Amino acid sequence: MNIALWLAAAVALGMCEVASRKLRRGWPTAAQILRGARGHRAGRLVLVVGWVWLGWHVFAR
Amino acid sequence: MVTSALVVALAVCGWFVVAMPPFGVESSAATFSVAAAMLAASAVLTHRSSPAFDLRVREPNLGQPLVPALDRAPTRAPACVPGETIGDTSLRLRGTITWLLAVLLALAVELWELFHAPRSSYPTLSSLANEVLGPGHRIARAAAFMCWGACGLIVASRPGRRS
Repeated sequence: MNIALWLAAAVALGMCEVASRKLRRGWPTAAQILRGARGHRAGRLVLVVGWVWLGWHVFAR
Repeated sequence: MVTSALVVALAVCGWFVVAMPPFGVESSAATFSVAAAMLAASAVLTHRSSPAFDLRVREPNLGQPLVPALDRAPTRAPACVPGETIGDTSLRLRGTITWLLAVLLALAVELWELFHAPRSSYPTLSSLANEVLGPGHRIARAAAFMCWGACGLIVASRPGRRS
């Protein structure tokens, strides 16, 4: 299986989260980025559309 | 209390929804119905927690207008986090860009795998998830459905004011 690419993407995302925990000040965590997106109407719209698509893709298809 | 009841209702719904055959009208209708119910519940919960809905009397109203004064200048959020230095702001910008690049990398991998075959050699995220959330794994699928529905309560609501 061509799983190495997925591992690289997972490591990149994981390293970003680790950096945010280690550096503390400045570097945003994933939760802070999501919180920032939820603060705007357009951000909430994108999140809701993505959430509905995810549910349909996983549970209805 | 209300949120807990909603999560329990989601678990019950999920148990039956995930047993429906995929690629069917029933499963699509059930999923979209639950999504609509969660969005409505999120709107109601947000409205209930807003200050305008707070009916408790905190102090006697002695001649003060019931509607907040509109002539006051609206309070604006500070341009930066209090106590943040230029170095912190630069690090925040670099961190946000790095997050964006990491997400774009995951998206590129998904598209690369999607347009290559066979699927066993080029798995997409959904084909990987199918190993644990496929139709044969009812308990895991119902738990995932419950988590997905609970996320709907969060993503549709405006974040609360917190320091």
